[in-house]
Order: sequence, then C-alpha cells, then structure tokens
Amino acid sequence: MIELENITKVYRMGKVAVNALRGVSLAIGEGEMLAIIGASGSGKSTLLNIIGLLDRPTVGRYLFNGTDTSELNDNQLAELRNKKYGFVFQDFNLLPRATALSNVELPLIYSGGVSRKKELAQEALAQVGLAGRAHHRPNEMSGGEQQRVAIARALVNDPWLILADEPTGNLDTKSGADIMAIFHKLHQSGKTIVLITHEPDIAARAQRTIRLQDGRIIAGGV
Amino acid sequence: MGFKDSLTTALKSLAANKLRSALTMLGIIIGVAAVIGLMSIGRGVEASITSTLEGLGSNAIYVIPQTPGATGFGGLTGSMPTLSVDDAEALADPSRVRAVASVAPVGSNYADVIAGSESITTSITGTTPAYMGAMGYSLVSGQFISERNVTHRDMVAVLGDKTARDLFGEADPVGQKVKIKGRRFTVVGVLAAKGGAMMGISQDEMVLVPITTYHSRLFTQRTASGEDAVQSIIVEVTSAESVNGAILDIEDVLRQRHRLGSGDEDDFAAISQEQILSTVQQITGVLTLLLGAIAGISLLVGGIGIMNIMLVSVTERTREIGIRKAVGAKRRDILRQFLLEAAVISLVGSAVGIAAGVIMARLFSRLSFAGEAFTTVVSADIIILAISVAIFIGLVSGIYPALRAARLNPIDALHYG
Ligand SMILES: Nc1ncnc2c1ncn2[C@@H]1O[C@H](COP(=O)(O)OP(=O)(O)OP(=O)(O)O)[C@@H](O)[C@H]1O
Ligand SMILES: [Mg+2]
Repeated sequence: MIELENITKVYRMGKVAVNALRGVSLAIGEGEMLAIIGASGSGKSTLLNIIGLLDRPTVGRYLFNGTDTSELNDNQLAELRNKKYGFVFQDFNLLPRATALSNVELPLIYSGGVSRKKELAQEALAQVGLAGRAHHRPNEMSGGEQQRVAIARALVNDPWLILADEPTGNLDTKSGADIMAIFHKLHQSGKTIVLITHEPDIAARAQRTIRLQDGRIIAGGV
Repeated sequence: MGFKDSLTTALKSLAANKLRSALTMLGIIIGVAAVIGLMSIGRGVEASITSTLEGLGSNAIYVIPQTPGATGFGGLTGSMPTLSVDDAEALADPSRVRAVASVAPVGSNYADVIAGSESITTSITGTTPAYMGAMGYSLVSGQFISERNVTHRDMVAVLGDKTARDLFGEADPVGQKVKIKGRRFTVVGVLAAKGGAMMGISQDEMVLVPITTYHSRLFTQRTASGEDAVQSIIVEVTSAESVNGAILDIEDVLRQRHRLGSGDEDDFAAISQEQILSTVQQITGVLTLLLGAIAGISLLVGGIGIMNIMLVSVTERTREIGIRKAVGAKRRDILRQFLLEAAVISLVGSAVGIAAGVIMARLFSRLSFAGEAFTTVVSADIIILAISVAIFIGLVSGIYPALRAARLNPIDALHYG
C-alpha cells in the first residue's frame, strides 16, 4: 500500500523555481493497475520518480506500507528500490555493453545473498518471451525486445510494484501492443502496476486512470 | 553486493573498455618500470664503487695532496704535488706512526705502452712491493715488483689483467718486453683481474713499475722542496682499530716534514677507507635518490592519468551509475566498483611494470658504461617501493572519481546526457 499526502516538488534552477507538483495526494493499493495521463510537462514523470523512490519530494508525506519514506536514509531507499520496486523507462536504460542476461541479473547482484542469479534472470527473460536472447547485447535487439529485457529486469526481484514511464513511447504499434500485453498479464497475476502513457486506448484498458495538469491531479485522485 | 560481485563488475567494465584500460595501465607501467630501471642503475653504480673501495681493505689510509683552504673533494684534485717518496719513507717508521704495517708511495701518469705491433695508452704507476697487499691485488703469473727492483731501479713492469690481454692476447707476457717512452721494460708479472673501476679508471688497466725507475727513467716530478713527488701514499696499519690513531700520527709527521707552522693548514689529507666509502656512498645515494625522483615523477604522471581517465569514465558512465542506483545499488557498491577498477588497473599495471623494469635493468647491464662492464642491481626494496607508490597513487586517484560517482543522485544520473 502506497500513500502520498500533499506531495509538492519544486525544481530550483538559479532564481527560477518550477513547481512540478503542487500538492498531490494518491493511494495505490496492492494489485492495482494505475495509468497516469496528462499533457507534456504536467508532472507525470516527476510523480512517477517520486513514487519509485528515485527522487524525494520537496514537501509532503510518502508512506510505503505505513513507513514514512522521508525517514529512510539513502541505503534503505536503495534497498527498497531493489526489493520492492521495478522500473521500466521510456528509453529502456539497459547497460549497453552487457548481455540481456547480465542486464536482467543486475538487481540481483545488489540484493545480497541471492543464489541462482543466472537461473532467476533466465526465468524472468522467459516470462517476457526472450528465453532465446539471453546472450544478445542491447544493440543486437529491436526496441521492443530491449523493452522486454527492461521489463524482465524490473520483474526479476519479484517486486511489489512495477513503474513504467511511457514504456511504449519509443516503440511501433505492434511492439507497443506486445509490451502492453505483458503488463496486463503481470497485472492479472497480481502485480501492482503504475504506468504513464500518452495513448488513450492504453489508459482506457487500465483499471484506474488519473489525469495530471500543472502538477495537480484533476481526475481519478485518491 | 558481495566482494566477488563487485570484482566481477569491475573486471567486466574494464574488459568492456579495453583500449581505455590499457592506456591507463600504460601510465602505471611506464612509471613503475622507470622507477625500477633507473633506481637499479643508481644501486648498480653504488654497488660497483663500494665493492671496489672495499677491495682496498679497511686497514688502509690514503694520503693525498690537498690545496690548503679548499674543502671536500674539490681540494683534492688538481693540487700541487706536495707528497714525496721521502714522506713515504718517514711514515714507514713504526716509532713515528703507530701500528704501521707497510707504506706504498704511488706515482702515476699516462703514457703509450708498446709491445710488438700493439700500442695502447694507459696509466703507468710507480710504486713499491707494499702496493700489492694494500690494494688487494694478487698475481696470475710471474712476480710483483721486489725491494731489489726498487733499490736497483730495474727496468721491470707488472701488467694489469686487461693491459696484458690488450698487448699480448692470451699469451703469457712474463719475460716479454714492452716499450714505455722509448725505454724497454721486461714484464715480470701479471695481476689477477679485479673488476670495477675507481672514478672511471679501471683497476685492471695499468702498468706498474718500481717507484725509483718511475722517477729516474719516466716521469721526473719534484715537490717544492726538491724531493721526488708522488700522487698518493697508501699506508696500511696492523688493525682497523689503529686507523684513527695512525691518521693523527701521519698528520704530525707530514706537518713536521712539510714545515707547516701551527697556523698553517695541511697541504695533504689522510683519509681512511671507511671515510672514502661513506663519502662515496653519500654521493651515490644522492644519485639513486635523484634517479628515483625522476622516475617518481613519471609514476605521478601515470597516477594523474588514472585520475583523469577515471573522472572521464565517471562522466561517461553517469547513466550507467544511474541505472545501477535505480535497481538498488548503494553508495558503497558504486564506490567499491570504481575503486576496484582503479585497484585492478594499478595492480596489473604494477605487475607488468615490474617485469618491464627488470628487463630494462637487465638491458642496462649489457650496455657498457664508459668502457666498463656495469651491473644494475634490482633489489626487493626498490620493487616494493615502486608497487606501493603505484598502488597508493592508483587508489588515491581512483577515490575522488569514485566518491563523485557514488554521491550522484539516481535521477540526476539517469537524466544525464
Ligand atoms: N530536473 C529538472 N530540473 C528542472 N525542472 C524540471 C526537472 N525535471 C522536470 N522539470 C520540470 O518540471 C515540470 C514537469 O516535468 P515532468 O518531466 O514531470 O513532465 P511530464 O509530465 O513527464 O512531461 P512529458 O510528457 O513531456 O514527459 C516540467 O515543467 C519540467 O520542465
Ligand atoms: Mg515524462
């Protein structure tokens, strides 16, 4: 269970302050599939990064299963990101020189004491239909395949929540549809999913949609 | 993240950038090799000079002319001849110089020596029988200059090992004739090779003749008081403990003979083998230090190279750091990865550098040095010094970039570039 209370994010660039989020409150329950929509610059990515513990809010409370995350230090946040969260980015963010398998394995080597890393990574690759591509490097794969590797990486630690920032944004329609099929399958198997999208039909198929405008939720909140 | 995973990560990332890793290592390799190579030269010079001087025996005292007023070695060269054969005779009196065992006057000069069709220019030394023992020579053939040769001004010569070879090849020169300044000398003995050089002059390239013959037939040089001049006098005492007392006695005798008043400075210097050794060791120590410092600078440059490449690589790999942090890497994981990369580079670089340095030292040994065979000395302390400096520099120059990488905020790192 994730609870955001009155989250504000201000970016300061010299004298100019950008209010990317202006008091966002949101609750995400276990097993939900939530889509975030809104115009460009409305604060979607900012919100997702804060939910994903990649960034801290300027003001506001963020509870993860009742724990106030503002009281956690960098190491504890890293551990939460590692064990409870899986991130999928628009531009994949794979390590370019590492194989698919090594990329998927990456969260496991920061987990400590995980045995059978290779097997777990191989299983995650099989889950996204890339069992046969384990030893390919990102530049030897299509965009859709790269994004599936990224999803496998997000899955490998069996996280509570998967976050995706426009996961189909860089893909053609067909590959995008494949990726969304994987997300729906994950949702059906009980994973909590939060994704940002610009495509109305993807949003329409999500269980719940919130719309952001100028850093505020204007529809679907709490 | 366990150490093994960190190491694997570091190794993978070095392997993924082979050229970059190799270039970084090159800096360390050159630095370490230079330290080992250059310091081995310094040590080699030191060892060669020390062994030469130790051959003199610790009971020897050198008496040489000295320009009054000048200090240190500067006063010892190019001086007026102030010592004479008569001085040497006076010093041989045990009632005046305590514990004196033998005294050898040494006159020396350069001249052409001819044997058949061979001709060489070499050092001609006039001396007495005591010289052989005082200088630690032994004979391979024939005999040394005898007292009789000295009293009779005999035209006899003893050849150094190299001189004998240069003039006669492998044949035994004893009984053969050599011509020095147009006069014929009979070779009566050949010295065993001693190796080493003293101030650049080989100890095996020389012709020895009786001091009396030297003065009467070859080189006539007199002191201000009209006595036959010598370049030095070697006094041997019976034990190392008597050296310091004997030096005082020598000074008394010579001051009296040279009629120096109580206010006058000595026109000679009496130095023990130990003093020469320590002075020379000081000089060669400075030489080694200097060579080491030059090499150290190249090591430092290598270190700066590592730092530079690590910094570039942190910037280049900001996104990678962001990705690692996003999936749960902690500060210490990133820090460890970058430090291990630096450590691997400096360790492997040091290892290759040691090999290159030792090879370099071996090659230097093959080169001759001013006509002298010259052996470099690679000792464990040089190697330990070189690696510790290399690893220290490698780690220090790795720490700053590693800290910078570790401190990056995940989202800032991800959005970089
Ligand atoms: N690191 C940053 N520094 C300064 N301003 C930022 C930063 N990141 C985002 N912003 C600003 O915050 C606001 C919200 O940005 P955000 O990236 O959250 O928008 P978005 O809804 O994801 O847009 P898009 O659909 O284009 O991805 C924008 O005005 C943006 O310029
Ligand atoms: Mg965005």
